[in-house]
Amino acid sequence: MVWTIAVTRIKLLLQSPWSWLGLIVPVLVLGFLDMSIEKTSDVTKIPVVIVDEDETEYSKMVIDRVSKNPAVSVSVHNEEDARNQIETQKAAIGFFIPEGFMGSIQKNDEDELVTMWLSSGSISHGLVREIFASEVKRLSSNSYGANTVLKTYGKSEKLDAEEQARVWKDAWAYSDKHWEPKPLMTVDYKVGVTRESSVKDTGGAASVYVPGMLVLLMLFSFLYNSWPIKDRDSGMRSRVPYSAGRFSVYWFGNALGVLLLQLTLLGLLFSYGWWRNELTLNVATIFGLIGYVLFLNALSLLFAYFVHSNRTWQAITLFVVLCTSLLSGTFFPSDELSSFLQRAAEWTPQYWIVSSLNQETLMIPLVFVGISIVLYVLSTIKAGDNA
Amino acid sequence: MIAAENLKKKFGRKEVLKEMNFFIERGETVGVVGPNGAGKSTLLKILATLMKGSRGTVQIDGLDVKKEQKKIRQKIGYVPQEIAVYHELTTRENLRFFAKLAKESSEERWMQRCEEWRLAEHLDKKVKHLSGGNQRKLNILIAMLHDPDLLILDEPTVGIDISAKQEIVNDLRQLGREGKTILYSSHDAQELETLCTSFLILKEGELLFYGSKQKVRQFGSVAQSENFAETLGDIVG
Repeated sequence: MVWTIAVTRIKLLLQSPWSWLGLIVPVLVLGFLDMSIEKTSDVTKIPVVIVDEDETEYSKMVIDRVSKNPAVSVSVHNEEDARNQIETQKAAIGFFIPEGFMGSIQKNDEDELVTMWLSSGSISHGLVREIFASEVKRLSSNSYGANTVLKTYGKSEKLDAEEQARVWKDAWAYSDKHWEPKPLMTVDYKVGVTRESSVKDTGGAASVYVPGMLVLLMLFSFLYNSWPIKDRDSGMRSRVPYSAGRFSVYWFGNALGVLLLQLTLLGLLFSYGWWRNELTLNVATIFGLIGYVLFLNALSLLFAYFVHSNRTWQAITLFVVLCTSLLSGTFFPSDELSSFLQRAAEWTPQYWIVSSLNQETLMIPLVFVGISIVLYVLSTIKAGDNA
Repeated sequence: MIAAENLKKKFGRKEVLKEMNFFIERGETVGVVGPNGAGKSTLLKILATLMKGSRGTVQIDGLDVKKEQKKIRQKIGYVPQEIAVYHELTTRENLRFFAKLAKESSEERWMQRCEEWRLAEHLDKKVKHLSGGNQRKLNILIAMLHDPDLLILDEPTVGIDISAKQEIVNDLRQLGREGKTILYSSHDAQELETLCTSFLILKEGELLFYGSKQKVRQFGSVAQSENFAETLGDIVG
């Protein structure tokens, strides 16, 4: 019977074109915001030109890795074009990788290997130099490590040339994989919710994806859950439980219908985030987001019990979504708020879910599930008494 | 079929039903009459197990409405004042939905009822596109899906035109002839006269009168009046 009511609720919600839009628009909005921010961030990146005279595996690797740094925008040119870009200040900084770069690195001879050109207006060369130097140093360290391994291991084992090459390559790759130090001036980009944790490899400027998704999930949870108000007006809030035999069957059936729709929306948003490399697919993330959606469903259902008109409901929806989003620091770091507001922020669901995503813990989702059960029971008792 | 003994209902300090006693026989069609605020809806809700009386007992077929709600609900169909259906769904979808809730597996039976009530041609129309009269018919049919013995209707023809009212009254009369017990609340004296065999007349929570149509005519100061509507109006005040 719960299932019959849930399916009917989904059918009812999907009768409205707004509900369909509610499934599609959030993904479009996130995509649009993501692209807008990406374009804006391109403009704010430091333009860097590189001349690659070596054109080896190593020089290409350095260029590729520097290009991935969110602070710079790299373009490769010949020497004349590169100098021209620097002189006309189209690029803030240039690097010249000479022929023999790879050979020098393999011999751990990186001193004065790369030439740097600065434009007259460059104020950010320190940062870019650190980024570039770090990548060169990384290759040099890898070679040093590989050489050391080969020297120590090769002597005792008496390896032939082919085996030596393989060991050297393995040692190099191992060292590269474990490269830890980051350039001193490199900026860590953080999601503006928690103070401690940083997002791994956002692949660009601070992403709007996670905060956007959390806000949209909350907004649509409230909008979808206006059914108790409509059902009270139409008399269905007493008729359906009357026919079903129990009020709880009616209440949970409808809540389940809305929850399934919310989970569909979550699935779409999650798929988009996964496609854009904004989220990692693991149990903690999935369970965390499901817990968040469940909590939103239970919370909005309890709120809907107290509200008597659709207009009031819409106003409450906006108020709750805006307040919790601003307070929790979804859009800017909460450490910019006063200490009182910071403490208040820790009571918002967005703060908890972002903490859960950053810490990849199952504890917070479990708390969400626990609170949701309490909220469901409360709303069932309150609404059931008045049905 | 229905026995009320010393039934009282209070909302806070306000007494909306005062010591009611009556017994309704099986197969009767009873009009529940009274001005606004007389306690008609409250009485019907108590009989339909939607509300509990503050004192006294009510029994339907020997079952106590307070203690045996579930069994009683299988015997009764309650039609609320509002058109309590999903307006965004079709007539068929609404009927199927409520039939599933009532665990009524025989689609054939309610399809036949739809034919009799001239709703069959509107089965695939969304309720919001039906006329007021057909919406009201659907509202009643939903309460009859599980083929109850007792039908309780709270102003089921409010806001519809005369011909639709007439149709509904005729259909309900047919149900009466089939042996169903009907409790029918309305402000329309003409439709009450056509449909009902006896009357419960309430005023300010008090049961002024319970008896047959003939006895209504002999009741109180307006005895022997030719016009039934006038008679009822005079009694109710």
